[in-house]
Amino acid sequence: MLRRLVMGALRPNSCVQAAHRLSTTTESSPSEVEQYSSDGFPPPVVLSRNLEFPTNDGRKRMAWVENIDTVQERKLGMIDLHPDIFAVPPRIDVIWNNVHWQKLYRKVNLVQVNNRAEMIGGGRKPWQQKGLGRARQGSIRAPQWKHGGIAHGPRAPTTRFYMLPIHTRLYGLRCMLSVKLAQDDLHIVNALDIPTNEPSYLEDLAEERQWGPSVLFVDDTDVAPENIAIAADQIKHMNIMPVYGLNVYSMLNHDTLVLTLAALERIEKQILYFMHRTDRAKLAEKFKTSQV
Amino acid sequence: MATMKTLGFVSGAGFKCLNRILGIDLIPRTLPAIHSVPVRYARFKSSPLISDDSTQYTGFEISRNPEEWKFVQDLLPQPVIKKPSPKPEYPSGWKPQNPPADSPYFIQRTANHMLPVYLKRDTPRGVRKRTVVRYIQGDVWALEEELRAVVSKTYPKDIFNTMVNEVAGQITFRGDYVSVLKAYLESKGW
Repeated sequence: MLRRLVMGALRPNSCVQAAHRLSTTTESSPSEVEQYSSDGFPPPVVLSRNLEFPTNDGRKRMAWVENIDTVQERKLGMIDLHPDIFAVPPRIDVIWNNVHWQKLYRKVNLVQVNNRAEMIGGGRKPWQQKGLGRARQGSIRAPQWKHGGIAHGPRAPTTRFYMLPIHTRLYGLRCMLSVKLAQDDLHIVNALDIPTNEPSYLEDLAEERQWGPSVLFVDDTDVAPENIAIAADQIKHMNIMPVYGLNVYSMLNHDTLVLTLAALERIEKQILYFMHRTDRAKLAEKFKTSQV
Repeated sequence: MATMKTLGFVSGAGFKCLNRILGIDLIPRTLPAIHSVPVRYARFKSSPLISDDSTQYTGFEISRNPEEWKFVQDLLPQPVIKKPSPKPEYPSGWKPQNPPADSPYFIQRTANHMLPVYLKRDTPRGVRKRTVVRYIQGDVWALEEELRAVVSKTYPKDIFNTMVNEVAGQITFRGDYVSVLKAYLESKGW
């Protein structure tokens, strides 16, 4: 019953799903939970999570869990965040590395210039080798000629693809999440359910809570609830993204990052797994284009 | 058998020479079909299969006991690095972290539960060496001062420089002082 109360407070519509998503979450004291405030909602609950790979350095990060089913903010609870992900130093160099890589790897250079073989003409020797007192020349399209071909010019398509080491990519994500939290630009919500599909609802919400103007919503599924999908589709600076698409550049591009509880769990689980894998040395090997 | 199949594809002057040298006819009379795949197994596969004579093998029995399966599980590779089980002493000499209270800084152990003190070289196989202490939280400068004193005391004649990267939480020493720093940090409980 106690569990149901907490879960009900977090997501009134689907207790089962919320319970599944909060599998590692345990509620604190029963007396806190059962007292209802005057507006009929239970007061905020401190949800202490069992963090995997706990640290012993005394760093502690916590965040409020909010609702977005009303424009007015209602705090649903407070949760612990893993310090190795949300309390790492803001390495701007690592963030830059990630952004630079994300900008470059997708680029293909299509600029191409003609070399001497591709120019028209130039097959004939312009003048004889000896006897004229002139420099010996073999073709009017040689690179030293005006209107000649270009030696070592750009050849298309040239890819700018390269792979950033996986640990730099992970560190970039951790830095960016820490920076967002430190700057109060990280918000955690219980679910992405909103009552209407009007884009003005999201705008009002952002205005009321001083989010944005650009907001990135992240959920662990790639099928967003219909209302928020329709609403965010009409606002160019509010976007929805699944956890597997989370990246440094997008986080940097948006002022505010909104994670669902499920997304938070997934992000923490994945990053911690990669940080503590036994085959980290193999992961860090040089990227080969033939690899899967 | 495999050899014959493979060689069936190879024909020409060189092979005829081989025939002459060996004195045998290696080219089969009927060449295999072109579309057949040449069989090039490793030696252990091209050798004939051992007969199904159970007397040649060590005896075994199939067990489905979960208690016994635990011993197998211990041998399987672990997906993540686990925290070592607490013991009074470890055979390798490794010690778990026992950080001192009220320290202005904190040194985090690596994912492998080791001290983050590394030897780096400026160039691969070069002679210029650097010692890097990583994962420092809090007052990096206090730790730098402390470690400088330790190195100076151990090697009074050495002239070395240090570099502090406060954002990254790293201290770099010019020179190889890995053993000294590791021993000192371990003695302090880091």
